[in-house]
Amino acid sequence: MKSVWPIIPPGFILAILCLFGQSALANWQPLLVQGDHPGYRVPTEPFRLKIPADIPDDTLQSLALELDAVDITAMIEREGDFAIFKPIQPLATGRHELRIVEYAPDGSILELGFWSFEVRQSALFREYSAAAETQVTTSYRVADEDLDQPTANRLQAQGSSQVGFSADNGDWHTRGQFDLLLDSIKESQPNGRALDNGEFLLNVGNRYVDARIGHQNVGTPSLVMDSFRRRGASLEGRIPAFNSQITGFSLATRDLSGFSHGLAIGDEDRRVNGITFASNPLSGHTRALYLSGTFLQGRGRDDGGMVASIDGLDPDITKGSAWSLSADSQLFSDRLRLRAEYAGTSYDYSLSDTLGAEDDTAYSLLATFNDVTAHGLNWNLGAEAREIGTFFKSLANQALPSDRRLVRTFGGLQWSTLGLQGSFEQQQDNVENIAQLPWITTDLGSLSLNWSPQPKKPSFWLGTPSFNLTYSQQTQNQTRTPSGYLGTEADNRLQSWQGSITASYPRGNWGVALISSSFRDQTGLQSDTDTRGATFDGSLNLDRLTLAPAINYDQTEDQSTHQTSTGITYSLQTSFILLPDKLSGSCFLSLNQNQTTDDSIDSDTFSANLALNWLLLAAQRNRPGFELGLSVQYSDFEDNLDATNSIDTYQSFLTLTTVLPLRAGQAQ
Amino acid sequence: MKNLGIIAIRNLALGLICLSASLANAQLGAISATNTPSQVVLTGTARSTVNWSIIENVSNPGLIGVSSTSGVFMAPDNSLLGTVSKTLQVSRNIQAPGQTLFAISEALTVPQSVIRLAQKKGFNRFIYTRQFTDIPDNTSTAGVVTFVITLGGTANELSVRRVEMEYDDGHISAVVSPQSQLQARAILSYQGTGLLEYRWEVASPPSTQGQPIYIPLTSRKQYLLAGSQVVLQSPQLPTTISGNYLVRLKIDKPTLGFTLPLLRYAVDRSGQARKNFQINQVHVSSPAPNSVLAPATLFSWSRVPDAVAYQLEIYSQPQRDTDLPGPQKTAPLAGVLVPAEKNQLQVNQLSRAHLQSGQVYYWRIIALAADGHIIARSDFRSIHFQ
Repeated sequence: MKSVWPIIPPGFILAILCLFGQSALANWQPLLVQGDHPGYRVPTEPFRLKIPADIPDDTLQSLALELDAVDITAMIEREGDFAIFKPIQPLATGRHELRIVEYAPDGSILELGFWSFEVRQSALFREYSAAAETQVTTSYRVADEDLDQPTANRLQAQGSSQVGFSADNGDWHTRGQFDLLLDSIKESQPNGRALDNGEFLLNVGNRYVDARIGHQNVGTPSLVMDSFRRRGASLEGRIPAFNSQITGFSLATRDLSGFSHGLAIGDEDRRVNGITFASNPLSGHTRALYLSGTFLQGRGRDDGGMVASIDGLDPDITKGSAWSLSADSQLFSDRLRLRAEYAGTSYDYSLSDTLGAEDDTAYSLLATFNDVTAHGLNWNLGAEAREIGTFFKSLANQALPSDRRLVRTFGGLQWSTLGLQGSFEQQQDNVENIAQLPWITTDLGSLSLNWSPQPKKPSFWLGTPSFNLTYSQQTQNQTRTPSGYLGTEADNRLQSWQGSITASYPRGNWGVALISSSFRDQTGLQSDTDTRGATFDGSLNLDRLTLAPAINYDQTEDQSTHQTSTGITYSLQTSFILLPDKLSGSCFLSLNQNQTTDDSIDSDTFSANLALNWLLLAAQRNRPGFELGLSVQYSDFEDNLDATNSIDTYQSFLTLTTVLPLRAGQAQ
Repeated sequence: MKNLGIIAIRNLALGLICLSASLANAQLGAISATNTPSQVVLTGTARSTVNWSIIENVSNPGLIGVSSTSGVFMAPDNSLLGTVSKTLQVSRNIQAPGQTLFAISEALTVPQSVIRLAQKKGFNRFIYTRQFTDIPDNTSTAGVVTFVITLGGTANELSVRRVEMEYDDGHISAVVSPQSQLQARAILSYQGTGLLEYRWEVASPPSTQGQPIYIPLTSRKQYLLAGSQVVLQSPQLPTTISGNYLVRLKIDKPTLGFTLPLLRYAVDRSGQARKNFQINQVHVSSPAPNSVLAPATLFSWSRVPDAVAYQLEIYSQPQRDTDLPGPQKTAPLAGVLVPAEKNQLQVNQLSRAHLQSGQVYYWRIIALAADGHIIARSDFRSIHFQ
């Protein structure tokens, strides 16, 4: 974060110097006029920038204003010496950034001014708001046929509720959100409760610190922690003077939902604790260097919640620690990016054996460069090198493939609406050079062509189109086989072509994609196979009708046995309004067909869901609304090989839906 | 008198059993076995199906069976690596003398510690053996299968090791308003090489109010190479009918050794049910989905009544919108705000500077009323930034 540019009182305008560069063309600096309140701004307060009236028009045309990464230049109004921006949306309470830049003739961007400021409701800053969106549907099954026995009770209730609140007092804020799912058929709930929680997040903090409990991601993605959204607690501290933040955390290793596990960090055999830090140490050049690091340790099994794995079948608890350090830099007006990361893990695969922990390391290097020529040709070039040790394993990144050494180069061109991108990658395994195990080398190459023309007058058939063609090839070879090794040798190739067209219109779009791939195994272990696929999807949005059709086709041919299996799925989703604000409905139709040439499978499944809803009373703030409904579900499975397996079922329901939008405080 | 009767009956029963036992005469013959897969990864637990085929040479028909009380893992130097304390047993009434085949299928979990111990001893293979005993003659013969230690990328048959289910925003549950965009994804870790056959299925209302009926949304076949990771993305999930939904991924090939989790979401119309607070659709005409963000790319859309401004928002992943207060919403990575007189714009260099080359982003248009309310939103579309 840059140093805060002071908001200048009107009486001292001419005495302030710009700290972040000067206009290339004129000797002036823009000045932000102080707001109505010292030290803060209110959410809808206009911004007034003093820009001398004698600035040439061509200079004014080269200026741009940005509020929190949103370009607001088109919304600026001019009043004499002042450029004024009136926020359309009230700014959220907290810190914001305003920036004014100039586009230089050589294409570079010069920053003329930067301001960081706080938004509050008032000096005392008391605000609270709470809201809940709740829907409960009571249903009675009036008719059914051929349902599995025992059937569920005819009277059931389902629903959902999202609850949110925020409270701000002085420098402190409290916020929270959680959802509830109701299903009287408890077997449909993950924990067997009729009313259960999905996810929640509660947050208390101020400018310098934030405490969170609930489902969260912590820290910057790294080799030791990535896509690790878990339930737990964290405490984040910010040091604005150093553009840094440090976060301590304790998260469950299981990906849980529901009330039954509480905060989910009470079980030490299923918990990971750690600390992360992130810093932009170069004040004034925040993108020039970004440092981050993570350390964590804990115990767990790779199972539970939304994760299922073979490792989870082993009842043993694992234990491990991991650390990572990374540096990321964007230089030369963000044209050059360099990133480096080094990480280490110590992982005990089983606490009940005597083998102890395995230590291993990993690194990742990335360099990319992009530029544009004088003729408007954008080009990019990059290289990546990565090595993940054979025994590298982190409790917070269980999905990372280990035992991999790869080198990748990539590059591309973009000229107007035409783009070309290619990459080549080579991977090797057996990073630890274990003598008893083989070496496998995998080469991957791909080439992609994309064209997105901008027709002045979109055509009837293609609207505003986009075309894409991609080719990829992977080969795998066993480059070293230890003597006496009994495993099968690797020697295979996979080639794949894919083409797609998407067409966009004001009221909808459609798209077609075709894919063809062929797999050839020189060892004969696996059959040579060709697969072909095609998909079509579209949408049409009229005032009282929406349609979304889709077709999916795939076929596989075994070149050894010449057996073919084919699957095709047709579907149509639609919603419609029969009487505005009174009668509406929706429908979902699907037909799935599967067939093999060896007559092992030949089946059709047709399904239809239809719902009609009559609005009895529209909901209003803090007042419920009611809707009566009739819905039908029909399913017909036809086994064309054995008719005794065919079955059709239907269920029809009368429903009463209650919706209740609750609001309190400033919530709208 | 009564006791004498009971004793007599008991003795008679014992005599019959001994007689039948003495009459039944069988001897264990050869035992063959296959294990699929036979290759196990050094750095993880393995799951294999061992099919034991046991030949019995029956001399006298009767009740014949075979059983095994435990199995052991052994290194080539005959050192013990681990044991499996699980009994396998099968028996049936043999009608005629001759050779009879008994088949037993065992779902075997090979602990990672067994594999590591064998490798640390310097071996790249180990055996799993069981002693089978004939019932009632108590003759014994051992059966053996061999496991080969590999690393994840070798050419053994495809095996799915791990599946993590979530929605496209990384959450594991979702409550969305009708017509929302929602996709599920499965992060799949696998070893080996082969064809993955899978389908996405969803149970929608009204069936979830009674007996959930799963409808296939799409089925795909995809070749996976080199033992790694792949992300399977579902098509757009249905969100037209309000109520509770269940989403599942069914993997037809290869056979999984574990059960996949079920995702749940709810379509809740209460947020849209209030008068004068409905959020309509912004109809975008360009660019098309999956386009490339070039300097000349034109974003255009149909005008929305009562809008005073439109904002283009660019995110790293689609946002699940809610109008509720709560934790700070994710701010867009870049955006452009224009007055309502305009219904098209281009992304200039200032905004492009916030994006990273080679990444895929998601964008949408929102329409704002005079009081700052969002009165319309477009769907998210992906765009590539070269």
